Amino acid sequence: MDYALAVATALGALSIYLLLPRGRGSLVKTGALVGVLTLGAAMLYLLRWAGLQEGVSQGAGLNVFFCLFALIAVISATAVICHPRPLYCALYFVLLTLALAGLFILLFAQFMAIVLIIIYAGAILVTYVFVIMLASPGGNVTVADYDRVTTNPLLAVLVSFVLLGTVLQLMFIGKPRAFMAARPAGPVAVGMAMGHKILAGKPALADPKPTSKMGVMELLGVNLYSQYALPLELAGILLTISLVGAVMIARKNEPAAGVLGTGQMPTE
Amino acid sequence: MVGTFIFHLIFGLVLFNVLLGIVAYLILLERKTAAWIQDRIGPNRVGPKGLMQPLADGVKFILKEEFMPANADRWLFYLAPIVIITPALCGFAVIPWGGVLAAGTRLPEWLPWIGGWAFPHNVPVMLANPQVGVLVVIAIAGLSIYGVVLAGWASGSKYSFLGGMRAAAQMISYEIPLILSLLSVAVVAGTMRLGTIAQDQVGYFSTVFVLPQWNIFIQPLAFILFVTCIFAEANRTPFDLAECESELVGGYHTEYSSMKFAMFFLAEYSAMITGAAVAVALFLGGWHLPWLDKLLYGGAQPMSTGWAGMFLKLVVFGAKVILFLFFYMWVRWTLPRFRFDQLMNLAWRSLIPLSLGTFLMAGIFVYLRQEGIIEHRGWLLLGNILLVLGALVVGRWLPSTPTNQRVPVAGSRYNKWPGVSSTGNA
Repeated sequence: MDYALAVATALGALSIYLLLPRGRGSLVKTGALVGVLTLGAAMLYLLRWAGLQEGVSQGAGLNVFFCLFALIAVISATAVICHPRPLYCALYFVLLTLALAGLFILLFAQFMAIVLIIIYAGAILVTYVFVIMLASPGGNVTVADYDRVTTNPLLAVLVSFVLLGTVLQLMFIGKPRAFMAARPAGPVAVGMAMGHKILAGKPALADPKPTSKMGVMELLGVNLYSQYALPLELAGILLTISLVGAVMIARKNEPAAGVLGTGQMPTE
Repeated sequence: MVGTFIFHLIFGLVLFNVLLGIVAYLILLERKTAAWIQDRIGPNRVGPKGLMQPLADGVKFILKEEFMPANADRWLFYLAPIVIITPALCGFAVIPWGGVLAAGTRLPEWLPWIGGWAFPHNVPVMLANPQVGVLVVIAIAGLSIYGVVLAGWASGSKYSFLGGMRAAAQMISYEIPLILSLLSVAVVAGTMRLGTIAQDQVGYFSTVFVLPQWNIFIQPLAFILFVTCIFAEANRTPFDLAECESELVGGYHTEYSSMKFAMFFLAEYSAMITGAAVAVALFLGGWHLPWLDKLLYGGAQPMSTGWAGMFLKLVVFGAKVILFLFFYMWVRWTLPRFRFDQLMNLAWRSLIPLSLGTFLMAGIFVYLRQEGIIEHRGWLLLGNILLVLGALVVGRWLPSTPTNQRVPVAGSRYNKWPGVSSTGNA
């Protein structure tokens, strides 16, 4: 067990517990202080851990960006769950998505990054923001208590941080993984090898041969439509089913033709 | 590597400032266009022929009072103009303005700091040509919703709020056909790089039938869908329900004044330029100078050219963009505004099925081309025509659009509830 990591996790739990919105006697400032301490400790830990690794120094430039995006991501993720106003939570979620997209770009996963922005920031969160805005009045109005106060902060923090602590302990066991290091060739090379293997026996698909010129998009396409064709099709069917279901739920109960046009008397 | 970076830095700075200048003059062009169409003269007082009008407008914006409603959400009220202008200016980065520069010119030695520095060979005249270029355009279109929605909500005014909500609903709806029409172009080109797609269109249908091989002639339906959707995304007439003056005062920017309002204006025109540039790059042949390139180059226009070729490409691309922008304005001052239910019906009942059909056609074409059954891209034109004819036939059998029914209302003067007098006191 890594005690430094455990202490950092506990500190993080304490800070989130203090930051979670409650009615009165708010401890936001203390929580923020503890949170900053936690982040500093975690950053120091990461730097020391990365320093143990051979070859990490090559990616020093990347690591600056990694730290920047990670910091934005952690802070905005905290704000998503701790901000007392729902609309701000949704907006911090957008910021979180952008920071994660930055991290994906550092991992040479441009497609993932852009698709994350399109789907999360561009579609899902817009709908969230839309619904929150419709539900809560615009402008500088205080939010109702039941929207502002966490119902069960202690239990929530305990469960989530025990899970997080376990995952972190497992991740940092033994030799550090290479996810901090800059290895552009890694995923691309693996994908290309897979593409070669798959395309070898299929002349119909062999036209776009995986070559070193092939980019992330092409490799992704080749992999999706050869090795992962069945899961892809299943996902498509699932989406179609949910689409049809949504249409069925949203469909208005059309009144019969004769009933149309009998407007109700006003009650007053 | 460093050379490419410096070139892009200089190019980016020049581009950014030129575009901001163009935005200022676009507003003048918009007012002049409106005047021509409405048989007026338009602004003609400031400078010769009114050419200094943008300057006067800018000074006026700066001198106006900054106003914040008492009911506004302070932070979001300040944040909204920033959020709307940032994605609007980001889109310029992936536009292929001028092919590839293959000059390798050395700068003269007497220049300070950069003297003797040679331009790198084969540097693309665009800020970035990422593998996911088309998706970047889509992502930026998706992010541009937030500014409008936030402005509407943060103002704490009912007009602004309704404008923001309308904008959100409209932009979400029109994003789907936008994405599908863009993807049907990308699928046929086999890449998502905007520069490559633009280069791909340089050429002709055949040596006899010299129609340029632009995507507008190959997939006209996708082009029409795309143009409709970028009009809606830019919130311009006939889709400007978000700011429609007769119902909502000014819509989402009702409460904004001074430079914060100018930011909304700037964002709208920047988004127009980005939309026009994407349309030119993807559908109108990019920098391809039709027919004349045979005289100049003795064949198709090459991708990499020297300085003269680059400037020719920049001029051709810019001219196409300006013509397209004029088309934007022409439409704005000609067509009346939709009603909101018509707007939604247009998107969900016609544009989305049609764009799905276009995408399907593109997929079938790519499959047949890969199987070696058809070779020429002109077949896709036939596919598009068939799709339109098929839609016209199928449309006759579809249930009609639910129109507004006359509902008798008690107390109504024109549509009485039977047995109730017009005063409502039966």
